[in-house]
Amino acid sequence: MNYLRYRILRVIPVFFLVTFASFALLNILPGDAADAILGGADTTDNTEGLAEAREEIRKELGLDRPIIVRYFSWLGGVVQGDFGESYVQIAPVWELLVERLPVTIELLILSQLLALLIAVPCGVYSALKADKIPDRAIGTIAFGLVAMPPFLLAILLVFLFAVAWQIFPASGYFPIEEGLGQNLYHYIMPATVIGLLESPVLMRVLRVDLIATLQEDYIALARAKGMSTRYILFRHALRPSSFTLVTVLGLQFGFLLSGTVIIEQIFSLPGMGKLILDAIDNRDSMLLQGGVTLIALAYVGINLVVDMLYAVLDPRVGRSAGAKS
Amino acid sequence: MKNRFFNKGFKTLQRGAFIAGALAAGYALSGIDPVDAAPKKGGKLRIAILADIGGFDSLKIPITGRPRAFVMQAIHENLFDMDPETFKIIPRTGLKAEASDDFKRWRVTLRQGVKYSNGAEMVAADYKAHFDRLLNNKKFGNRFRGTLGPRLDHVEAPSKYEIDFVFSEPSPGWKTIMTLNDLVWWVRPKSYLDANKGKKTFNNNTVGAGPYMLKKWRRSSSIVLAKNPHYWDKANQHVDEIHLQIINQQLSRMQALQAGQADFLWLPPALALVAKKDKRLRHVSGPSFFAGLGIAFNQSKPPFNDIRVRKALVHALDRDLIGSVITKVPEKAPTHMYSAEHPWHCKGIEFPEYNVAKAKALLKEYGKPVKMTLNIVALRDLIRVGEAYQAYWKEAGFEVTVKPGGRGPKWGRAVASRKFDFWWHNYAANNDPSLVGMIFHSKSRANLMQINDPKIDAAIAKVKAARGRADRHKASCDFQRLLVEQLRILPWEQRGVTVVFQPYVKNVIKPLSIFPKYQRIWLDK
Repeated sequence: MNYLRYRILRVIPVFFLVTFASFALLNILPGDAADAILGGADTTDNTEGLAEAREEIRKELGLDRPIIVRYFSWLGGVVQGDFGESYVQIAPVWELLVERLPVTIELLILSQLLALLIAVPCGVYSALKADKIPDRAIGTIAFGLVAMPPFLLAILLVFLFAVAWQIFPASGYFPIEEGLGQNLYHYIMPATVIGLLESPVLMRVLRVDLIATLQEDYIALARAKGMSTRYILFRHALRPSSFTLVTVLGLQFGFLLSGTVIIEQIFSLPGMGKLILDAIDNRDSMLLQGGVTLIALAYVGINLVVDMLYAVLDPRVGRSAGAKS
Repeated sequence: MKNRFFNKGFKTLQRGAFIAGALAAGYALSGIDPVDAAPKKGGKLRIAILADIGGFDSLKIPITGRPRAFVMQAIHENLFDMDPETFKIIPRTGLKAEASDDFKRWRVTLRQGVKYSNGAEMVAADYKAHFDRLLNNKKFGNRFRGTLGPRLDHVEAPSKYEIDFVFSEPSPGWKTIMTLNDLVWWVRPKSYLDANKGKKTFNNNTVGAGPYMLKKWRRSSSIVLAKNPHYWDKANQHVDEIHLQIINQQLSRMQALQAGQADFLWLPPALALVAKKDKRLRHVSGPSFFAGLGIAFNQSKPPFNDIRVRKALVHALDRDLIGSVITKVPEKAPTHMYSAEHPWHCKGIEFPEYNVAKAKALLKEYGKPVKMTLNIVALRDLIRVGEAYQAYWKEAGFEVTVKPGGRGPKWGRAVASRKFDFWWHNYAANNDPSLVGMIFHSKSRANLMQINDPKIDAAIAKVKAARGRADRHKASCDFQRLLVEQLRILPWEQRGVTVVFQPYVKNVIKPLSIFPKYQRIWLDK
């Protein structure tokens, strides 16, 4: 409990730092919400009244106030669950975020599950056969996948499985509430691309940790007791070897919350990455700020979960941190 | 005898078979399927669109914009349409349009019995309420007015089924302008406007008199349209639902079509070329109803106020070659505002030829170094064209820098505020000469190139004053000739639109603009 309290307390300054930094950065960028509202102006538009309209909107939105005042006013809203309104999409920011977040989270869960499904058996097998032909073959494939840009793999899969063989859809999103089967069917390709590309890293870190664990005395003792290799691996070696795996998984999850933009674009998934990219493109500062805040919170939350997992994997971690605090 | 008769009969059969074969081959090559006599009802039409609509409130969402107009045309019907083959104006919810002698007032008579999807009857008061709301808005009124073309002052409703559009300048082409399907206006019943006034959800829904109505809108993902049960022209309402899937990448859209995930979409020329090679698909192309993209320059000050510099700019460019290489579509660069297939096309107008020696001689005659910065929207294709032009101009002796920037509102604002002297430009819609004229007149707010030439003003005045198709065409061509003689424009492309679709998609209308029609399609599945 002390450990959890200690971790949560550490999150608060991080939250303030991230939100203020993003707020300040967005204010430095040229163009503001007034431009976004008046935006889409065709080049044949007349300029009559444009400057006045812009000033009026800035005043209405309080954009003429100092940045620090605006930050705390925005923060006050966030605390009450009001993230403001997107001036371009003309909808509450929270509503837009809530619409997009599940799309990305589902993609991440599916892709990370797939990555683990590939990485854990391959990593374990590689560690068992360290420096032998199977290990080297798996390593070569892994390096090949790591070197492959996501868009290339995505386009290749689309070409083969959608255009040529017409097995999976080329793009698009199907909401889960309209049918789980169709929903998963539309996720197969994007999740596979991310899963395939993420798996080599997970596999390599697991392999290295597992090789080190397998050289520990207690493993030798277990072997001496006549326990089977499979039992030793999955019962005694895998858990203590998963520290780095869990850390990397957490970091990847956090990164991918906004980092799947290329995959979202190629497969036309209305997720967080695409939302943030559109917000940048449209100078939709309120939406961008909301998106950044949510991602920062999610990042911090995921790291908190990872920290908690450390304590689960090794209870000594929780005890020592609790003692410190 | 019997043999001769048999031979003759056989030859007739052969000839018949040849003609039938030739017709079949003709259809196959044209890419257009013969339209069956009896359209089938029902089914779901799936279309891949490029971007989301943003909402339905014309006050907050600019009325133009490809994805919005594309979707809206099925929900809100036009008063008039244009036949893509004959270019004649066809009455839709408007029966007739008559202009006053000075072309400052147009009276449109509405078709009676037209109903919105909520069952309310469409009446002139709806138009008045709609336009009053938009034109009188302090913040956005001018933006809306600017999208309409000729300056609309206000709208009146003299009777239940008559609308008066009142302009502050002559607008002889208003009837044609009304056929543009990016000017659907999204008119809603006055009762609906009153009931939803001030509501936050106002932007999330709409009610129109078109063949389809909004069933579901999932932001950035999809829009589902269902049949309007009160639609007046049921004979032209075929599929049960239209699913518009938002796919932001052009390539992904085409792949969705190839994968059988979409039934219909429009494509830019380079991708249309690829799609045309796919034997599983069909396609139809139409003329461009946009004056084209090109380069605009501030003609009120040196160096572009000097015709020698403008001529040198053009002589220095191999426009046909650059266009073909960049767009991957071999075609002749535009010579004026109307492409060869356009009903207002003018014959015999030619741009100065590619001749570097002439360009250099003109620059030498001008006597001063010409330095310029080409401002261009930071889009890959535009930058490539800009850099190609830059290389040619440098060869001729111009000192030119290409400056990518802007995008989105910032670009529009920079152009509108006359920040640039030399910039990439969209010359806007051209379905009527009066639309084209407004961007060159010295007194026009849309005269971004700051042209101040009595000859040009007089030519535009003649275009506006001309009566009858022949006289208007002659006046328009005289004006176009003058523009090219004086080199007031530098267009680099004028593309038509290609729609690509599955073989079972029928009744595809030849696209006249970047907003191809799809609302009358039926499916032969």
